[in-house]
Amino acid sequence: MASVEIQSVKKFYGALQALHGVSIQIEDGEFVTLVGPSGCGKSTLLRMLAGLEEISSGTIRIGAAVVNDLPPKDRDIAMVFQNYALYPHMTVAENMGFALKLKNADKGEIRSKVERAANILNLDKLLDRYPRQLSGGQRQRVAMGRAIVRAPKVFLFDEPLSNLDATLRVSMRAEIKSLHQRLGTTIVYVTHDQVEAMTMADKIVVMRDGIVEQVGAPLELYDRPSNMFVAGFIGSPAMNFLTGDIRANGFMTGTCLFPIGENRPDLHGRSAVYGIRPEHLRISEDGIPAEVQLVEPTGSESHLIVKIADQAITCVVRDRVDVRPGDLIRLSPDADRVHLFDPDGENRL
Amino acid sequence: MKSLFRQRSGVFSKITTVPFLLLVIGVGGYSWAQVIVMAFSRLRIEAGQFVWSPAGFDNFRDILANDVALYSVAVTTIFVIATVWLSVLLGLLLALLVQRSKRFNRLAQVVLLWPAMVAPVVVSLIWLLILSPNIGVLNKLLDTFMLPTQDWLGMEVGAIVAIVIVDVWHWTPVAFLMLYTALCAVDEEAVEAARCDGANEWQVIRYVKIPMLMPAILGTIFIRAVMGVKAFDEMYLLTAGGPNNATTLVSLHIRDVFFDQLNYGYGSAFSVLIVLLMSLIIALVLTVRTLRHSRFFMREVQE
Amino acid sequence: MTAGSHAIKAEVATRSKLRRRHSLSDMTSDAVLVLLLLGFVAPIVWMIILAFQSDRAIISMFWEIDLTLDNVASILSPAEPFRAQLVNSIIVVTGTVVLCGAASTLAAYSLSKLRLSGWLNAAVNVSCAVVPLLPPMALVPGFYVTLIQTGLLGSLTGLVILNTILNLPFATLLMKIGFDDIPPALQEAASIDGASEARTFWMIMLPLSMPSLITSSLFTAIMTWNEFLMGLTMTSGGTTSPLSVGIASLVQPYEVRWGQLAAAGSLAVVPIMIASVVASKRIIAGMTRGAVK
Repeated sequence: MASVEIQSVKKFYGALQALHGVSIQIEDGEFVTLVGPSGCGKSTLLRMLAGLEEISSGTIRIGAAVVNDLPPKDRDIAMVFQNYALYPHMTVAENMGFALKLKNADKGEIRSKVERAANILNLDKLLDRYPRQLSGGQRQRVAMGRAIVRAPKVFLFDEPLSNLDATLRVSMRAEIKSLHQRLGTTIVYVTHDQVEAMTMADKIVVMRDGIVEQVGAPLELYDRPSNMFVAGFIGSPAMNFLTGDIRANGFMTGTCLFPIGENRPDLHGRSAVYGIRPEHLRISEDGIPAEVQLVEPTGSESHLIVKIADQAITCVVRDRVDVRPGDLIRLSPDADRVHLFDPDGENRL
Repeated sequence: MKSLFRQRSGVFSKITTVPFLLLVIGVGGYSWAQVIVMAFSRLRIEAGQFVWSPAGFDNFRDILANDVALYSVAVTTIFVIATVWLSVLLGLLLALLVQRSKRFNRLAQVVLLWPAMVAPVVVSLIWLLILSPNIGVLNKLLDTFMLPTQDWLGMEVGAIVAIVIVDVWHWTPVAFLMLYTALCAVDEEAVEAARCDGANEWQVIRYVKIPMLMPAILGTIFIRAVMGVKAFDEMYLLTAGGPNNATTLVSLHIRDVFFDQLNYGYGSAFSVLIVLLMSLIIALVLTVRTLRHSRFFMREVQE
Repeated sequence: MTAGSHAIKAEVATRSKLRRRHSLSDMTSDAVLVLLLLGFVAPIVWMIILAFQSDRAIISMFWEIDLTLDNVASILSPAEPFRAQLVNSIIVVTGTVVLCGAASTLAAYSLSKLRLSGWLNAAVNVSCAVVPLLPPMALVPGFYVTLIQTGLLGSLTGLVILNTILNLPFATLLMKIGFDDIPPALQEAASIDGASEARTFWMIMLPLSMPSLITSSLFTAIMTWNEFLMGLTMTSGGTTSPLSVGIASLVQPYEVRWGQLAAAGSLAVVPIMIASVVASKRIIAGMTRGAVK
């Protein structure tokens, strides 16, 4: 087990820059997810950690050692690939024991380590099968077993659940999390799915276009996103944004006045972006008038898409409401959960 | 996402290409260099050893003065054009028929492999047993139906027609396989859409399948043309270039001057010329293709 | 003409009933197909029949049947060079398959999966594109001189080397297509598991490329078995030559032993016909995949 330190790491592909100086500190035993839209550089960063991509500049430390120039095999890391990358011509047991075999480990030792890992992952009965005879979920577990057997300092996961169906994804999510609690090994986990990141991680790193937008615990990102990108990326459905001006008595957009919880005299009179999450809007008698455009019931809740001051806003209501497109309703934002952003820099005010 | 990973190159990656390069560039390239040197030399054998002396462009001048050499280029051209078109058309017909057929689909694919797999030498044997004036089954058949028999390989026209037929028989299966594979890859939805639009079977073939096969057809034509220039084995045994040089392909001419007339320089010079001519034609084809592509592209952009 | 009539019938059938299987036109097209197939098979079958016919029956102007094993027996008798030529062919085929298989697998692997310097990459790619276009006859003078200089003229080693050169580009192409199909993540997984370049190749990539290696070896074997030009020009005939040249030498200007000729041809063809029945899928895949590129 070890901590990981990434220090102003950059990556160039010819003239194209994929990472613009990324710094992340990962504590020993922490579960960190790198999350962001595709092309944000999260996979590149993970592969640089693994030693599969060269580091253009900056340093990466695993434990105390700088690993920049070490080949993957000398970094003491294990990786779970998106498509599992199981060796098709080897049985489950051979797949899991391959790394030990390469180290010329004793046969009995390999067998016992493989069996212990198989036991943890419920693979006992599948050890003599070939990857093609396994289901998606089972292959996923073998890929994790291969990583566990080596007892590495760090586990790297590259979108490991993206090829599974929705139900399996949820149960594997729980399985990986409990595995982490059991083994206590540092995990770096790449995903594009913010729900996955929120549910599993101790710490989330949100990335965009090769830059770290924010690092923090899941609820910290939800409660205090440091910019509009993080605010919009974390949480589902996404946060609503309205443009307007900050006044002494609230936030003015069109002819509508939205409340702001904390009074910020320093901001009075400037234009801003008002962010409110759909779940922080509720229907009330004294709210802001809104015209219903669309109703999307999901069963447990309903998503209303309404129009306020010519801007579309999503609102989540838990109770069943009897509204139809065209109806007029009144909405009240939870004033304490309002986020204000600078319209130019998109940063939190 | 396409992986950009390539392992750090170690000793292993440095030696992997060595055997290939040693054989192809080493032996092959060296041998080709010998051909070029010989093309500009006069060679005699004295006491079992080659004696080289520089000859400038003499060998090339000899070629231009040699009727047989020029004639062999003409014969090869006719041979290539005839065999390419016949085998591609026949291959296309076979591909369409085999795709339609449910009963003979598997059988046809296996059976059609045979001619292509048979050794060229045996192909000429097979056809000798058919075309021979004495024992050939063709004359036997004609005789049975009271028709006049002929010495097919002994007549100039008959010999040319014979080598074309033999080559088409031998290599149509290759054209068939390439076109059949391409035909199977044609999007079935496009065909069904055409049927829904009211196209009959012939219109589907004419307006949907063949246009979609066009790249494969052009590829097949190219490969068959290269094979045509390479042809040697079958004709060497079947006609040996005769009668009256009527079937002297370029490769037969090279063998004749190099091994029978022992005119090494001339044979090498002719080899060089043929390769130059081929490169020229291939370069021309590629240029035309690129130009057409870019013009097509330009038109699309304008629209 | 056949295409036209077939098409007209298809049209009539389509009009007569919309989605009904046009059985009449199917039968017509099947009939045309069977006739064509007969045209491709009959000449081979005729040779095999003649292999078991007596010379008297072959020469006869009538349709006689006089079955005998004499032709096959006399071809295989110790007095004939046929046996030695058969052994030569087997040696040349085996040597070429091994040499070509090893060289093409290594080269294709580095093309597909390793970081090669630009000019090495270009050298291999260009030779793969150019060599198949050259008429082998144009190379014969050069090969002849090279073999004389190295003292390999007339030897089986020389034939193995020449056959390998002629088959390497295609074999390399086939192997490269095979390696391209192996996901790069496997190579990465192996390097994380601690395998060196050579071990990754030996323990992961080579086993996984076995199907391509079998296909390309089958091709090399058939091409070498059938090869005639190099055998003809680089050996001095008789017991030094491969089988293909031996068969050709049975065609004498004056007295041709037709029965023996047919028997020798049949012996050369039957293994290949069997191979193409057993491995037709592989052969078709190899032919078309290699050609499309």
